[in-house]
Amino acid sequence: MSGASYSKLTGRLLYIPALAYLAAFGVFPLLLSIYYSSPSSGLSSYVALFEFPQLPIVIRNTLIFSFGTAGFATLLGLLLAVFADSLPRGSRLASILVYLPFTVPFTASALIWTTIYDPIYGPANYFASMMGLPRLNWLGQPSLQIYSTTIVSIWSSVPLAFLLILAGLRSVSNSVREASRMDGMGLGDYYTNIAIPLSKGSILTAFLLTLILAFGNFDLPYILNSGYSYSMATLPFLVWFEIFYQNLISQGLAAGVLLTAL
Amino acid sequence: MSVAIQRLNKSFGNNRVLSDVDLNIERGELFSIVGPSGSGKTTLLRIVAGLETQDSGHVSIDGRIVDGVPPNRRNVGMVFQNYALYPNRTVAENIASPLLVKGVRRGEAFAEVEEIAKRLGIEEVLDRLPGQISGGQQQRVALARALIKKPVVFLLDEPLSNLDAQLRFSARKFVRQLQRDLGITTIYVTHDQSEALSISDRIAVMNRGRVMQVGSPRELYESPGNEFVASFIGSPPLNLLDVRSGVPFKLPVSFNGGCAKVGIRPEAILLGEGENRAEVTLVEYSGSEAVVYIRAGEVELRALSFGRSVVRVGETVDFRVQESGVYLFDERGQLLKAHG
Repeated sequence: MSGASYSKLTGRLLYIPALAYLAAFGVFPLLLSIYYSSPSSGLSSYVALFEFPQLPIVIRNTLIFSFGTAGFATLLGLLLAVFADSLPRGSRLASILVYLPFTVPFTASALIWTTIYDPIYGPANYFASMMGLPRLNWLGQPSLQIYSTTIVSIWSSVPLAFLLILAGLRSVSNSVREASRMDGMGLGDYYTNIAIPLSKGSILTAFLLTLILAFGNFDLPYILNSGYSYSMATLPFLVWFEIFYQNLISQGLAAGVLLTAL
Repeated sequence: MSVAIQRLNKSFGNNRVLSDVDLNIERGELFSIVGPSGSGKTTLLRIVAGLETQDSGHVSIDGRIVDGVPPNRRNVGMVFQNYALYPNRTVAENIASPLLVKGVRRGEAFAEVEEIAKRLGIEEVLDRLPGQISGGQQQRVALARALIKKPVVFLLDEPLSNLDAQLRFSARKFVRQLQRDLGITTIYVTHDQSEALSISDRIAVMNRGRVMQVGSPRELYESPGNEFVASFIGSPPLNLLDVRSGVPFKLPVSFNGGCAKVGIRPEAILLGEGENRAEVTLVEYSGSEAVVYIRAGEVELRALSFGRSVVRVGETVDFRVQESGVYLFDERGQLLKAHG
């Protein structure tokens, strides 16, 4: 009896470090930014933000960027994971190749892709012209910018999705796969009817994780956006731009609160 | 002949798991393969199923060599140790799976599922998922899925090892009766020698990738071909004594220089009579019988005593060794002489 209540109390006490952490680094800064985003003049910075003509573009960009990243990264991750899982056990080379972008920091991969996208020397245009497509100014043309940025983001998010989904596929018991062979299922049947449905949890996790990470990603849009153009800006970029570039601190914080709310 | 295995060899890397295995399994018999873990029995079954490929040798099923034939075209049904049911499919879909993959129409397939489920007593759980039914029911679902294609050979890999002791007893009888009723040739892999003895028509005992002996349960028990089979078959296990430096009690058999070891079945040691004396060191009581450990000179022996156990630890008892149940082995472990 006393042992049970004691362990219950201990259990509650064990929450404290986590709660303290959340309060200190999550709730407190959030409240602070809400406070500073509406100083003396009440909601004026929010009004300014919502009257800001480029806001719809920035929000649209953010949605394209994050959902594009999550959707395509999950899809490509799934395809690659199915491929890696269908290889005989032990042939890990393919998996290692897929992990590679994961080891490259966002900043570095943005710089690599700036080179790839270079309108004159970049391999992107080289391949485009090889396939008879017109040469494009990937990062310069406003209608293209956000898609070029999203491609880089997909490239660096695929490994995460791949790892999560592969773990899901690998967790299907080997004998279940063998049973499917006994039943005469091909690999296609096995993956569509058995393995992928069984891995739907990890596929969803991959989607949500890449979505959240892309939503808050600042490094990529910042480095690729060397001209500070709104046509490729996402919300995290806007937060930075308002606060540190234009010194509109309260308006920037308002954008930050909006990002958190989304 | 239903299944013929000829000079089968298999290695994983440097590890040789099967060496020149030859086995012939007759139509309609329940043939067990027993051996300790690592003896190659499961690998052998998997090669027959087509899940593993041999390095050399042949497997033929129903007179047709099936080397290189994919598992689903070998006319075999397999039950896995952990049943390997599809967790996201209902029981009915699990059982129907081999038919649906083959292109049988859904209505037809599910009619057959209904029929086999009734036979196996699982018609109540057809709409549930495998995770929602008991271990015993899961096993029957696995049996049904393996049988629905009406295979020529039925392969069972340790089918009872995931069941609790009580259930294992009834499941064993169930499997045996089902096999008899269907008259289906069955290869049954188990590490449990008593399970094999009780269920099989014939048994192959394997050790380190080799077949040590093939025979009926009675043959294996009463005339084991070598030391390994003698020690592996029988519970409690045989007493094995090195006799090159003599034996500290009287044996009813004489042996010469060629004999290196003597095996004595625990039930061949009769307590409370005879001219030998020993000290009781441990008594394991289990209801109808008791295993009594006795020490005679430097040697500890297991004796099986039936009925009420009257001996106590620390007592001195008389004992004698019955001639039937004594085996002589040469230096290589081959049987020289069986008495019985």
